[in-house]
Amino acid sequence: MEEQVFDCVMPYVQQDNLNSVSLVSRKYYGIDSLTRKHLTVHVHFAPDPKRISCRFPNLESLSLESYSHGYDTADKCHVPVTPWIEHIGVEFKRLKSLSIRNMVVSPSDLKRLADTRGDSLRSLDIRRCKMFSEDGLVDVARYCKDLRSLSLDENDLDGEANGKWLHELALHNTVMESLYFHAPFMVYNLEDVTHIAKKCSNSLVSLTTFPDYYLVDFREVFKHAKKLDHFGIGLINKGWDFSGFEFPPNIRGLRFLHLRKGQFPFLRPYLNQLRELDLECGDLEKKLPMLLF
Amino acid sequence: MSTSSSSSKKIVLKSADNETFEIDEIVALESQAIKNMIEDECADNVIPLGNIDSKTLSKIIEYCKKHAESPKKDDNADIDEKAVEDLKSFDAEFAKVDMPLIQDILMAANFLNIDNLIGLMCRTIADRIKGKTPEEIRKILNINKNDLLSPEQEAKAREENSWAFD
Repeated sequence: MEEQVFDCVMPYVQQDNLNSVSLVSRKYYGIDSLTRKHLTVHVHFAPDPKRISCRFPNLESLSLESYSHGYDTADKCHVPVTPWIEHIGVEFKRLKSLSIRNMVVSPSDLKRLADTRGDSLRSLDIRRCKMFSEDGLVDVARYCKDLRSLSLDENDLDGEANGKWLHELALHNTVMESLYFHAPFMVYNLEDVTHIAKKCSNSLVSLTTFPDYYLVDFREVFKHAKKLDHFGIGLINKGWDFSGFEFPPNIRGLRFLHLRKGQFPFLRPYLNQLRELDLECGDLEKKLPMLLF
Repeated sequence: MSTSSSSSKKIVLKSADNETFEIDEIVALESQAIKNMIEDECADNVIPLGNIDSKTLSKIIEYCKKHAESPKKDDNADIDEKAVEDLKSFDAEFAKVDMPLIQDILMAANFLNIDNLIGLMCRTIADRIKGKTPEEIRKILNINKNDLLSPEQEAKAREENSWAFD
């Protein structure tokens, strides 16, 4: 009876309780091994990826984290993700979501990931990693056709950014739901963003791009991305004429840079529906509530 | 086959220890398994439940009765808050029983296919082992000593757990 009971209860046990549950008995250990879907691994203490895949063969979501040594920047990373990517290519056949933190990610790693898990990968998150070039992202964009979430934040790039990966993404992806990229991916073509908004108009709900274009330039993006509810980061130009400017109807979160005094009225129609508003507008910040409401 | 005109129709359930329970059909229909039996017309006057004892069965009937009587969400979109709250507090009281009975109810609910009750029992068990150590969980669930991991297996699993978290 015990096993049957636990088969039922397992989906109700919270993730942070599973390690305790796994030690309760042989059967619980077995059930947890087979049913564990998500795992965060601290790679410093887990040198061998094989032990993870032996114990949890059916993982769908894996977070790999290395120690940040207290630094906030990515250039101090020194643990390569390579052995993990090699292993993911062979095991973890159900993996849909991968998150990499504070590690060294080379183009060949991303190429292998795209080659081996391109069909199934839905979410990729690379944060505070040392990356050598954008080349690997081109492979991800080209071959991970079911990719719905891509997040690139606070990474360190050795070479120059060229935005080719975003162009490839615009060519090949039709299902993107959440796209986030910030420095160092500063060079990109707004046409590619517009193209993504057009091709993913039924899925795209969250879009954050490196702040390099004026908000007014996103008019086309907003026209296509009907379901968009979060947008960032638009620059506000001096003397901006916002007449006829519209956000998508479901917009709930916005991020801007350089909003100046007197430029708030375009936000008024949306104040009732906005849940998040992130503005960097220097001296104005303290007066902001007064200006808005 | 009509279930709407049969609100007063009775169904008799018989437990493993041969106790019989006469209930309204509408109460019995909370069980998807019994509902299927009735709809397929393969239910006799008496439905024998050879794997459910009378103590468990009477608890299950208590639950089904309450849930059959309270208004269903899909019947009426603006069903009053009070009825929802009432059902919630009934469920909370209902779950205040010892662990062996909870497990018996869960198994029986699973057999009878009563979705809400399965969920309630699972949540109750999950709540009771939440934040507990393996030793405490063993005690709560009354795990047989023969089923434990060997000391070597447990040491290995503990080591893995130390670098694999959440």
